[in-house]
Amino acid sequence: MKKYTFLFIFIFSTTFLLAQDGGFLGKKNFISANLRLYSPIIYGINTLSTEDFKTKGSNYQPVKNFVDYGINLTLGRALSRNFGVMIQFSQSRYDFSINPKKGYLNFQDDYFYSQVLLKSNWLKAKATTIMPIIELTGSDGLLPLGLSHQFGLGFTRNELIRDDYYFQIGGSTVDVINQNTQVYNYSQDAIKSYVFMYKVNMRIPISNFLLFNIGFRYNINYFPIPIYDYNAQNANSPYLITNDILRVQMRSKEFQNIMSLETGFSLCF
Amino acid sequence: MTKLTNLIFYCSLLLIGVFFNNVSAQQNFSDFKILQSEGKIPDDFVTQSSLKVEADMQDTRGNLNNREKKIFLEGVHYGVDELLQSGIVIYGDEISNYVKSVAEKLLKDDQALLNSLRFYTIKSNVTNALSTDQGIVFVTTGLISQLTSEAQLAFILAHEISHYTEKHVVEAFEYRTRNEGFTDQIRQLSTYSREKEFEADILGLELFQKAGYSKKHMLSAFDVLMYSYLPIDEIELPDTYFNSELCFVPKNKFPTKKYPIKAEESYDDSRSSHPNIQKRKEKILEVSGKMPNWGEVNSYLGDEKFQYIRNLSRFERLRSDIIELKYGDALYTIFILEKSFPNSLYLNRMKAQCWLGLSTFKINNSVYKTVSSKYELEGEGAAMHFFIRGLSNVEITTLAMRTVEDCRLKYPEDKEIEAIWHRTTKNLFDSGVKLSELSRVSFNTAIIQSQIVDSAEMDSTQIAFSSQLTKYEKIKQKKSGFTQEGIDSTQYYTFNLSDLSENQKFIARYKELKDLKTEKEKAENEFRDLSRAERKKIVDAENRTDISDFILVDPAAISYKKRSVNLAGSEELAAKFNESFQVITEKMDLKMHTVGKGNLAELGTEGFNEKSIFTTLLIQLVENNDIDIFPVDYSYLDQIQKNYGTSKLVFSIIEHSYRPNFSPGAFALVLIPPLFLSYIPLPFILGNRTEINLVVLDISDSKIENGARYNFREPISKKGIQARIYDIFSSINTKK
Repeated sequence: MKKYTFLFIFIFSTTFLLAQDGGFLGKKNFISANLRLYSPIIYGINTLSTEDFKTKGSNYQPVKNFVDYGINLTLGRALSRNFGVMIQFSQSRYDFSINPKKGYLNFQDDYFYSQVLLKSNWLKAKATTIMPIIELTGSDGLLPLGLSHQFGLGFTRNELIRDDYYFQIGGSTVDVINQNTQVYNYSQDAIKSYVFMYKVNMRIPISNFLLFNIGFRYNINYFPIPIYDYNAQNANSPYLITNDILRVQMRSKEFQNIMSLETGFSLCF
Repeated sequence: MTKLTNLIFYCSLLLIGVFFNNVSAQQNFSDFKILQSEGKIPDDFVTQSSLKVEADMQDTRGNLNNREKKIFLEGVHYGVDELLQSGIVIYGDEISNYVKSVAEKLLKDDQALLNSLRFYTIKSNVTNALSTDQGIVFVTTGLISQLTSEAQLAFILAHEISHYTEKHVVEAFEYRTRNEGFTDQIRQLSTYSREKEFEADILGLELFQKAGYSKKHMLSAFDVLMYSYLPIDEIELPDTYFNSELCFVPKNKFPTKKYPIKAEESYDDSRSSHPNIQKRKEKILEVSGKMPNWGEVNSYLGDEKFQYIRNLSRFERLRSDIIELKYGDALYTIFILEKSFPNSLYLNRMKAQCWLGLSTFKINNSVYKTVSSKYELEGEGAAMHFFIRGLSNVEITTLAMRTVEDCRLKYPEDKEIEAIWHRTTKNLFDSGVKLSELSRVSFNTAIIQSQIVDSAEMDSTQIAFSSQLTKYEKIKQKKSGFTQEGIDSTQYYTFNLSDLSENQKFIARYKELKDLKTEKEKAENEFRDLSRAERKKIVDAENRTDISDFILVDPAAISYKKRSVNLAGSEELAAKFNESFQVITEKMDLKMHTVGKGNLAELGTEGFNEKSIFTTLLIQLVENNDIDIFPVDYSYLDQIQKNYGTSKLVFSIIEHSYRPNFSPGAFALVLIPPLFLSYIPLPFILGNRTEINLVVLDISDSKIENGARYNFREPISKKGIQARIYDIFSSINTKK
């Protein structure tokens, strides 16, 4: 007679338990590559009345911004059926407006100080994030397979991508600034932010080692800076865009990029 | 067995009866073998339901359009196939062959019709016969066991064949389809159904008359249906039935009154599918009176043959009662059959099983499940139920031990009775009966001894007696159960194991049980003192079962579509499920023998019979998972275990549904567009729900050893199923 039989009979009288092995066909490690698509709808709506521009050849034309994208690479391990850990490296690119509210900015050059109405190309930013993630499932989970909930807290470097940006300054008078060196000081440190992430994810098996991923991700970014004062921050700056302006605009965009769709593949090993 | 009743009920709604001429040697009832299928496995059992539907779609079915025809054919084929695979239907056996022979007499002038019919037996005590649209006539063992003549069977068969020839199944479907939504639909459908029953009675009567059967047996067939809920005979159970040289049961344990039979022929049938018996009898009398040239035949195949077939079904009835836990009914049937077969090993086995079952249920406080309630007591059989209900724990366990020991003494070499004996001793031990409490002499001997002692004015340390008591003390003793001689009859059960009280084997077994109890208590205490990690390690090790070699029994699958079963989808899912087991066992290097519908064509009749035995075991164990049930087919399972070289059985089922579930509250999110848009895809993605259940049974000790249940939400795929099976097997298989 098995020793302790009484014990597991008691356990089985309610439900059978599975030992903590888990894994997809025994494979507990995985590496995932995902494409991430944002749809900044609110941001798009907010900027509808005064579009920013995209350059085509020597022309520039007004466009809306409804889609941003990113990619991420994740290395993970299922520690049990219901709990896993991951480390994720991601890079996303997004467009943002220097002046989404289309208000007047204070601008000072060598000779005079004036209020200008600024319209410009969409500025392009690159956000590189490293994020440790924990992954949880319900009681019947089998990580890395199936439905799971992911929570992560990460660190992001936001950088303005170097490009030829065009600006319209003023109301009826149009002055085009085409001097990159005066737009932004690219040698400055990148803008740092923190991001909290929740994602509901589904991994569907398609072979003995490959899983198809699809999930919805929610990000909340935190930029540790004081609220930008439009009337003061760029005074005395030789550049059109200061880091403070950039921070505020990036934060505004990132906050509204709260939701994204992620899809890709996981390779289990 | 509600499911079984539902199945039969379902098929009887569909309404309305391949036989193989294998000549089997007649059974010797002293060594009865349960009925099993024989001969080549018929196509009905191996052809996929979807293929049957596809083939029949080429034919017309009444006035049904293509969509209706598909619904009808799916209902008919999948429903009947479920019954065929349920483990209770047999083909090519002696009863099925006999039924076919009677049908041959009825259809001697219509060979084409005869060739289109197949006859199978359902092992069930529900008294029923039914025919299906595809030409299958089912007859239950319960029906055959209650008949008194071949002619009665012929009349019932003629009725069922008429349902088939008149296409009543499809007509009923068409009527139901065309009259959906009418008020009081049940009453309307009942009226329609009763008309069809009258029609089948009349057409059946013509067939019956043409075959030359005697008129006098047609009405008695209705009596069979009327009183079929009662046992196979009405014989008084004597209040000395259990008494023997070694056993005594007081008369006051038996009822002092008779229980009348309550059934009436003229019951309200306004909501029944069949007219009441009185109306049917009147109609038959009216029609038969106008028919000329009635024959005089009671039996074409001989009374001896009929009695033989009926006895087969009565032995099977016993088995069905035990599966359904109707121990009271089974013991009364044994009481009747013992008169004709006093030296039947099978009856002794079944009797031992009944008493083991009763003692097990009694110590689990659920003996009420095994006998009729006091409101259900009717006829002579009521005495057995009354008797059992009145027994206490120790009365039942000692009487069970007495009965099983008597069976063992009669058949000392029988392994099944020996196994029952082992379990019965445990029940006796668990009920608190101590060896020291058992008298060394039987009740009768005690009485004789007390009289001797009394007359010699001697004292006895073993037996209480009361020679010196006053009149009033004697009255008090009598009231509390003392016999006139001074023996305390309320403690009569302590005398019933007098032979065992000095039996070395029994004493050794009692000691073993005591040691096991001590060991268990010790282990429990040790376990409490362990650290959490140590406990986890032990539990994990105990959770594992060696399934390196196992038998996979008929993996089942149900796929739902819009809240109803998707029949074709279920068949596809079953194929995926089956294939997944193959892939994973190969990957994990496990040895798997599959016994299921999917490979019946390859396994043949032997595999089909094994599947039936396994299914019965599952029904017995799962429906009573909190109580240790002894397998009714113990000897057969023992043989199968030897044949396969493994005792592990794996049963499994997968269920899948896809229903995107939009929470009404979530629509409040419409006010926050991004959240709403992000919510919309979720119900679609999470709409899949799949559940896998798997149970591992061990034949050797008839217990559920292990199992697992998995729920998952991703879209169903072979790989997803395989991953879960892999995980279950890795989790429960013993680590090498």
